[in-house]
Amino acid sequence: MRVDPVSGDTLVRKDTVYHTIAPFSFYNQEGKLVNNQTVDGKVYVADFFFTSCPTICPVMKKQMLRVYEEFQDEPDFKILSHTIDPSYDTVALLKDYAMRLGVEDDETWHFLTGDREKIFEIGQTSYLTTAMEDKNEPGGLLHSGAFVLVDREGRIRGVYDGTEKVQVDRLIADIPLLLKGHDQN
Amino acid sequence: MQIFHCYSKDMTRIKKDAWIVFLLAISLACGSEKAEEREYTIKDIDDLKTRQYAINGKVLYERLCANCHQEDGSGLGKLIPPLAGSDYMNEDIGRTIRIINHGMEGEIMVNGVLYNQPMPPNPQLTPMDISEITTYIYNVWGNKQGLITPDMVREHLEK
Repeated sequence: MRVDPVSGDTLVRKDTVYHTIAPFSFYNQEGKLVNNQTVDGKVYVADFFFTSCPTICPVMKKQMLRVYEEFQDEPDFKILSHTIDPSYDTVALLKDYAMRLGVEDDETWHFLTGDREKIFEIGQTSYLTTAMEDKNEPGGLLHSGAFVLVDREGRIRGVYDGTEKVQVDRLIADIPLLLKGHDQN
Repeated sequence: MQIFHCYSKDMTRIKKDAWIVFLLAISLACGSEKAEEREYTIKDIDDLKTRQYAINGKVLYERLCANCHQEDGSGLGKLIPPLAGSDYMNEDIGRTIRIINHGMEGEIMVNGVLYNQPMPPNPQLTPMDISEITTYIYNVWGNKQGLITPDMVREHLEK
């Protein structure tokens, strides 16, 4: 009996159809282009935030730091944090933010900015998460605290609440399963 | 276990004493171990009124402050300053009260690190709310400032 190591689903009687990530192209905190080739064959975690966010972002970043510290020496692991406020969160500002967070280079963790509509679109259609403008929200933007785990083939394999330590513990336990390639179906 | 030799031959008495020494040794060992890594929490507040304020303050803190400053007061990298063990916060209670109410902008130095992230104001908070929040943050994480009353908050806000 085969079991999906991440979801725990039995894979005997059904075909699991994973959702895949559409083509994208953004700039990271060093001003370098980051696209599907950057994460081709890699395991990565994606999330959405903005630097001036007064609500859940600092908690998410605190939790993502734990993921970063655990896997920063793993060449096949990346983190893509997309800003949903790209007009304010420029390359220079993201660089400053990353440095202050303690992320000194862009080897593992990319802080991405780019076309606002494209960021909203990939958030909603590829990562199936909420990222949109909302005048009623503090900061004027609404987004979920989801951490989306993507495998080497660009398929979504898990979604975790990035504001909950317990869920992030699970994410940290799941990442090595995908890195080891135990997930061949 | 020296006790076996210096007490009477009454075995029950000896056993009892040895047992007490044994328990004492265990509780001492545990006590010292805990003291090293322990963080002061609401349970360590002796004064009942201070504790009541801190309990309500913790609820407000977790709703309004912990997103940025984190539940354990550790802050976030060089972006958001810590409150736990913060020299800046401990320097001036009045200033903390005014920052909670009016927010702040610009650079501040906390424990030798320069921070520059604006903090939003909280005009909706009453002196009672601020009294509870400050009583909480000034009586956990190793702080022991005691009760900060709504009257004290009012006084500091008028400055």
